[in-house]
Amino acid sequence: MSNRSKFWRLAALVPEVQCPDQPISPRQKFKYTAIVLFIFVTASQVLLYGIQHQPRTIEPDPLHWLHLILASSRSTLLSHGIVAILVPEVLVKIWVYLKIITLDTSAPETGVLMNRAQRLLGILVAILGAVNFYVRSQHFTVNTVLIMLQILCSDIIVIYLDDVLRKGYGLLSGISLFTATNICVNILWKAFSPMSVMYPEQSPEFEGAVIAWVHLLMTRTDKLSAMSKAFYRQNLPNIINFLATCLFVPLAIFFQGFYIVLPVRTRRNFQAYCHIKLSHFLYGPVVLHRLLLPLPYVASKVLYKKYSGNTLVNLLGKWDGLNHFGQSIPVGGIVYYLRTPPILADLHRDPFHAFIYVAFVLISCVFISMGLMVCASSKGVFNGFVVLNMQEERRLRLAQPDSIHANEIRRHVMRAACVGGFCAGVLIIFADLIGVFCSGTGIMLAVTASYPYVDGRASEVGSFGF
Amino acid sequence: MVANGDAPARGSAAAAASLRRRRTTSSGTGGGGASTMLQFYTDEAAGRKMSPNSVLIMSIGFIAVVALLHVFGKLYRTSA
Repeated sequence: MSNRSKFWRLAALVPEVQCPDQPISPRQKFKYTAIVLFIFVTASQVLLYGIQHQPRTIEPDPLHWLHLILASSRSTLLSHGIVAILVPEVLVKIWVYLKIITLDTSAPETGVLMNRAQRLLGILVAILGAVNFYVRSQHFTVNTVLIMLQILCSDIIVIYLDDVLRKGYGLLSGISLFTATNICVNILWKAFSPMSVMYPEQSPEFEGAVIAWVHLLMTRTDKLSAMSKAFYRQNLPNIINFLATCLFVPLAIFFQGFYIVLPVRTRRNFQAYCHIKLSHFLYGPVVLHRLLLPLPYVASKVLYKKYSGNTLVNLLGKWDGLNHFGQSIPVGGIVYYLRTPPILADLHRDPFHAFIYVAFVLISCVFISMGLMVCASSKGVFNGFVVLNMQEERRLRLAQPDSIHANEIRRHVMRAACVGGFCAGVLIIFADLIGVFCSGTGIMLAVTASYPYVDGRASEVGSFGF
Repeated sequence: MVANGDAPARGSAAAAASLRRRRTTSSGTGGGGASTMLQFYTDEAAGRKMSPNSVLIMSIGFIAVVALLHVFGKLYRTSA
């Protein structure tokens, strides 16, 4: 009791957004969501004051996937993106599974307590982010203090924007909204960016695929070479990537609609139908797969730069910066086999590489999906996977021979988790091979994050789709 | 009747929290020690409240302050 009282007093210090006292009209929800989105996008464009801005480099960011998932932009107010709301959400769920936190579902204050715990954790993450910048800069000036304050305030603002959306004033939860918006902005930028990229000894090219296509057709006399360059250039987004993206988005949306119907036998020989939606198992593997995959990349790259002669380091990965427009890519070792084959033709030139890559992606997605399922099996989260059809509940029918017992739901859900993870892996491989913008992972993130709104379950679904 | 044998499907934590809060306040109208204890927790759990409008105004204000910092920084640099 005394520990609880202390925690209550600590949590009470953190203000929270009040719940709406009357139902909010959809028009007002849309207005709130639009304002929150405007604030978020503006903050992602405003640069940090006092930081030394480096010129924009062509070399890809090794944390590119992390930036996509966390909706962060380097050197801007949203340097950390949605870390402050994503990390507490994931940590609390893991702690609940590991029994570090035991949920007393009968107590009326459990929900309030969990919300306040997550907010407190978010503010702690924000403070750690600000301190992390000071540790990295390694010197203390007025500019450093200003930058730390800006990062801290930005993270706290993200926490409260998410709180506004979560309390029912918005259409989606903050994590889904911010991630999807960031990915969509990236895709549109790659297609229609008016920025020019300067290359030595060559004429400048537009970054956007469509803009470059029009520009090449208008300026070059040789239409065939202009068309060929616009469609197949490798250094910047091209039209093939654009068309692949247009093909992949409807495919990802189509996958969201799949579900499996389970006839479940209840007590007294009645049965009802439960729907297991495969889309619930897509988001987790997609996110975690791209979160974990860059780790060996970064480790191998750093090690190779320092100890390039070591046998073990070479076994992990060899890197080459020549002949690739200044980008350093793996050309040997374990990391090379985990890399996506650049184009479809590589499937024939290096079949062993293709096989290793496909097997790795499929197996890792299935295991991640099952692992998430196990983590989600705590009492409060499990039911999110199995959507009970409320219409059917009223007209229960007599049990049929093919109905299963309620205790067997879990086994069927695990089987569906395998199928879902496998489908996620197939989609990732397909998208990466045809070369969509922001990769298939990013598009699936955006589609999975936005689909609950189209589905009409926006208020029920939290982050990670459940 | 519970259809699937487990606990029935529930909404998000926020919706459940608001539902429970409503139940607690309604049950708090009765007398007794347990109700007083629940009421005590509910009152302390309330904490400070902010309206969504104040959150939005605070966010826009912060971004405006940083933008002004950039503007004054450039003015100061050119004048120096």
